[in-house]
Amino acid sequence: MAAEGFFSVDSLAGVHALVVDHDQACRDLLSSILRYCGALVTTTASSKEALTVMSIAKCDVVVIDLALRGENGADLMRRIRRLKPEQGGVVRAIAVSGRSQDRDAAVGAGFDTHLTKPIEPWALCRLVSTLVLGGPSAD
Amino acid sequence: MGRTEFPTDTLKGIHVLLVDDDDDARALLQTVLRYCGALVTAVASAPEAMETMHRVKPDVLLSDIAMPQQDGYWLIREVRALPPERGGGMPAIAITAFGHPHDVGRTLAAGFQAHLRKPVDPWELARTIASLAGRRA
Repeated sequence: MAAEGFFSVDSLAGVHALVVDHDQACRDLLSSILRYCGALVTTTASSKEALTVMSIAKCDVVVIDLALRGENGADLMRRIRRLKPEQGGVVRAIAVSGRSQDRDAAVGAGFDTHLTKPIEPWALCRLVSTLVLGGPSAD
Repeated sequence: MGRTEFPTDTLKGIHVLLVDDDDDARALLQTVLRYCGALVTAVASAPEAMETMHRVKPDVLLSDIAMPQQDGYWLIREVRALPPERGGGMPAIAITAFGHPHDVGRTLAAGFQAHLRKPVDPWELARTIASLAGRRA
C-alpha cells in the first residue's frame, strides 16, 4: 500500500495520456495504471509512432521512457517542444527512467518532471492529475 | 484543458460511423469514441461507408475529407441524396489534416454540420458529436 494512499478510480476521466515506451511490459503496466484511474490511454513503442498519434489527436499528457530505442526520450521531447501549440507542442510531459539522476537532463529537454522506476502507481496518477487538471500537488 | 463532465458517458447510446483511410487515425479515433461510450462502426473508404449505411443506421457520420478515389465530399453528396428514413439527414462532421487547404466554408456548404482539424481534441470531438446527436454535451 502506497504511503500517500490510493488514488481514486475515475479521477483521470477526461485525460488523454500518451505512453511511449519500447518495452511492451512497461508500456502495458503504465497504461493499465492510467486506465484504472479513468484516463483515455494511447500507447506507442517509438518516437515516430508517438508523433503520428500527436498529429491525429491532441494529448493532455505524454509519459515517455527516456531509454527509447533509436531516438531517445529526450530527443523526442525536444521534437515535441518544437511543434506549434496547436500541434501539441505545449503538452504536459513526464519522463520515466531507472535512474533518479536523469531528472535534470529530462527537465532540460523539456519534460515537466521525472519519475524513477519502480513507479508508484498512485504517485503517477496524482502527478498526471496535478499537471493536467491542476489538482493538489503530487509532492 | 482536457476534462469534461463524465466524458465516458458523453456518447453513450450514439452510433458513430467513422470513415478514414488512414489505419492509425481510424484506430485512434475509434479508441477515443469508444472511451466516450459510443457504438462505433469504422470503415476505410467512402464506398464502404455507403455500403454500411444500407445495412445499419448511424446517428452521426464522422469522415476524413482527403481520401483516395472517393473523398469526403463524394461521401456527403451520396449521403445527402438518400431519403431521410435511410439516413440522408444524418448529422455529419468533417475531419481534415493539419495544414490542408480544405476550408470550413467548403465542407459546410457540401453538407457537413461541423469541421474539425487534426490533431483533433478528443473532448471537443465528443462534445461536437453529442451536440449534433441532440445530447447535452
